[in-house]
Amino acid sequence: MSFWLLIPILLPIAAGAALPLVVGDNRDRLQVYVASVVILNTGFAVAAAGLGDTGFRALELTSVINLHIRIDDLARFFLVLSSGLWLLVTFYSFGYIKRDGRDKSFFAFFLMSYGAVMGACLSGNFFTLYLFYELITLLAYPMVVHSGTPEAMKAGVKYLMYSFFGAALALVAFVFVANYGFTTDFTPGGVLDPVALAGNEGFLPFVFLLAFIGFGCKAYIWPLFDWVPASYPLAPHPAAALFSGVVSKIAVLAIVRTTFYVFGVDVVIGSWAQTALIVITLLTVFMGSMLAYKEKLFSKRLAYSSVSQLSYVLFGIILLNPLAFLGAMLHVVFHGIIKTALFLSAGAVTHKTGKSYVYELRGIGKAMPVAMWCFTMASVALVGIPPTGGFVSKWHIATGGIASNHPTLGMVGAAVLLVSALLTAGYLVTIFADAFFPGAGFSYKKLVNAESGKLMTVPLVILASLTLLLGMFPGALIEFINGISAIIGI
Amino acid sequence: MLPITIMMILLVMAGVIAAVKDSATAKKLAIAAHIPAFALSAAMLVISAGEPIRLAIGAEPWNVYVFVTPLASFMVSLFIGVSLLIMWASMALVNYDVDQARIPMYYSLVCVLIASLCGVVIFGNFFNVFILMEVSSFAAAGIIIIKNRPENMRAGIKYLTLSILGSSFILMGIITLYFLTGSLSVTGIHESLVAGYAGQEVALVAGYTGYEVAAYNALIFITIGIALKSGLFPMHIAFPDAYAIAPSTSSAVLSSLVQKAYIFFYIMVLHKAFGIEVIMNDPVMSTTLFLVMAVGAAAMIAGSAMALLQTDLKRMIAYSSVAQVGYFFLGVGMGTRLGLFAVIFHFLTHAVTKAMLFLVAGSVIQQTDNRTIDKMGGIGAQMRVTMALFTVGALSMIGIPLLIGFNSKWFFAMGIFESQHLWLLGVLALSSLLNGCYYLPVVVRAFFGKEAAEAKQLGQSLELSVRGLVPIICLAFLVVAFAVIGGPIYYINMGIESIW
Repeated sequence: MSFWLLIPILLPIAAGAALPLVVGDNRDRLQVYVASVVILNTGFAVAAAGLGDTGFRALELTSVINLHIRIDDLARFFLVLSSGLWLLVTFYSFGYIKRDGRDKSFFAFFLMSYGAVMGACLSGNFFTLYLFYELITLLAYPMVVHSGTPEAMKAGVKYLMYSFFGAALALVAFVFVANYGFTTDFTPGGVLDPVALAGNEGFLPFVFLLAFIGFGCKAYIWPLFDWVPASYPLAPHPAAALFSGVVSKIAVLAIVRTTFYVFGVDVVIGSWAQTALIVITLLTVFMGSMLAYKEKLFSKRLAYSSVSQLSYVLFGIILLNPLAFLGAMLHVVFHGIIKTALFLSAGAVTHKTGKSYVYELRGIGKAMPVAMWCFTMASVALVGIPPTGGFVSKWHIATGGIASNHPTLGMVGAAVLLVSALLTAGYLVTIFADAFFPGAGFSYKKLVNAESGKLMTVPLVILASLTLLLGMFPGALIEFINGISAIIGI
Repeated sequence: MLPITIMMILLVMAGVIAAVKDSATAKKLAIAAHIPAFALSAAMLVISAGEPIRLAIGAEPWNVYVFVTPLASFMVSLFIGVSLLIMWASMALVNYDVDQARIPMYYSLVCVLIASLCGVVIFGNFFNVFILMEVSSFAAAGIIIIKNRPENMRAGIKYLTLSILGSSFILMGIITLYFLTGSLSVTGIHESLVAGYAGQEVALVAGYTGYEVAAYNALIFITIGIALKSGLFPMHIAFPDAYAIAPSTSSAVLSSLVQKAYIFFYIMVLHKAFGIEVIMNDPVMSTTLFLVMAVGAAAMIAGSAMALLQTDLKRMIAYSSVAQVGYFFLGVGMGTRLGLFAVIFHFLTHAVTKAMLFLVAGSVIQQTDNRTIDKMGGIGAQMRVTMALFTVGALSMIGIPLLIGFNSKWFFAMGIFESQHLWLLGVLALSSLLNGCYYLPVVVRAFFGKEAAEAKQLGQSLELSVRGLVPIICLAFLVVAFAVIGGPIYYINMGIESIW
């Protein structure tokens, strides 16, 4: 039964590898092939999420080096989110990616990355997670450098080196865990063995910090976020959307696993590492917002915005408080949806008009009303205006911070969150305000309807409505997340 | 007799091959020599697993003494197995590098080299081992020089000079041990050394009291000698030249096999002759071992840093080998069980990975007549399979899970943890990252970017013939297979038990 869990991982990887053979040079067949694989696989992923808690082990070489695939509530949460977003981006990509011969390799790696992401969601021990984490790095790389320009290649190398560096930090941390823990399987409450640890507890905060920052590289934590502004503007928009919407969430998953399933709350709470990480995440929130505010390149602004938003999530996690954890996990969902929507609408604009700087977008709302309406909806949600999703998640993070074991830093955090929300409004509202109210000098004569095709607009509309719907009816989601926090015991 | 038979098959066939005039026949004979030798080495793997094979001909100390522990048969299988695959690939590669007339000579030398490497690991008498080390040095220099160009001559002489210098250090060490213990066999030396250490002076030289100092000298001489012969940084100077200039199949043999025999001898000296407890309990000798570890760590970083600066593909891989030699010394220098385990496992890792990388480099150079990395943009469009194999090797070197390189690194990390020198974890991580820094750009330029798109338009395939590709694919398969099957781990563990 549990071997079914392999299907959502292996199907897209195999299908992606076989893509050049199957589709040949027929572009219509490419779309049908990719779409059917993704739809099928999203179905399998949801079906896997429907299985009870189960798992299996394979290729058991040592107690650490073995493949352990399993599903639990946390895995379900990320599995459904990732596969849903991946499905929507797939259709958008059909409209976006030019049929220039290189699209074949783009979609081949698109499918394979999907499998790697599913694998990361379903990882039951450190080795498996590390394997899929590295696979995501490698398989998503061709999407980053899809344009093939020298700048993109340079950004791609930067992306690879940062990712490997982060993974190496996490690996070093797990050398300690392998020696001081009962196991490296993810176990709610942590795996560390107090007997083996005796006398070496001093290492632990440092090791935890290494793991957190290491995995945090893909969640854009300071000081490892420099690759983000370098590579996202040069990557195709759907790829940037996937990175920001899905891959960064996998990093969050890895951090949640490390914090609550490996080290355990008791080890981390009150340690200097917790304090340091609270400060670092708040710093990243502020830096990201400031940089986004000052940035003029559209997609780079969104990239910096992701830097700041992901640190909201990390801040929520490291507070080790049920309310903050709820907020963080809600923000994982909302930011996943919102940032995907933002990148995709930015992509629609750039794809159609070639405009990529924010000051060029005056009046664009008149030419592309659907795309810009979706952008507006998503922006409002990201700023956190009720009743959209962003409000619910940020509210919980802020109240959780004040209720945590660091009330002063929690208070500072609430203030930073507020300032950052204002900055978010500053860098997003100006865009859609100018887009819809171009001012007196705007010539309506030259205006042509530049709306993208249905393939691109329908996923956008779905995403935009989800931000609103989930924001208004987050009840089921909240219940599910509270279930997780009950399991991990915060 | 089995170990001797294996050696004799190779040596006799070396003689036969040297007598053949026709190059095609020489190639077939070389393969024909390897296949039975490999089959027998596999049999030896099973036989020696129970009890070490011992065989003495003549009386101590000047006898022939065969002493095959499970680890030694593991090494013999590794040497012959990997050499078999390299020879198989060489059928499609050797003509580019070696004149038609010299090809029989070439294969004869390779057979002598492999036979002598097997000899180094199976003999338990240091005098026997020393002679075979010398044979291997000359044979190794021979397969560098065979390319008949002045720079090959220079590289070969340089290699030989350093190698002989190393041998003389080793010889001094062996002689010191002989005068100290009156024995040349690894077991005999151990017994008298332990006794001597216990205060009963059994030195041959009458009235000699500096027993410990002499033992220190022996260890230090042998350490320096092995470092010279296996190219430990900063004594590596001859090696990158040799690997870069030699025919690609020679580079594969030299870098993936030759040093391992010497390092294995060193392990036997440390663990079997001296005894690791004796070494670790002695301040001077344990410091020596610590220095070996520290220099190994320096080599890991320095080798990779120098590899970063290279523009020639083979030279880059050669410097990467300098870094890998650092891993071996790091593990040996820990003087712990896990450290030794990591080293032996890394023998396997490095042999298959490096052989594969050099063979891929050789085929790229042969098919495109270009060895500069900068001009290899887009090569992946024309040599898709070849460069995919290179990618597998590169990812293994970086340490991606499910490839053998990851397992090696993990075992080293465990060894480091046990040895309590935690700073070495940083060295290990940095070294993996540096591997990424120089291997990945080659892969990236081959498959992605403008040049790759342009090369795709050309559409012509420069792929090596299937005959040449299949053995490289076998090596790639081993890189994956040994990462997921437990056989080697089990066997190495057993082998370490037997010498500990």
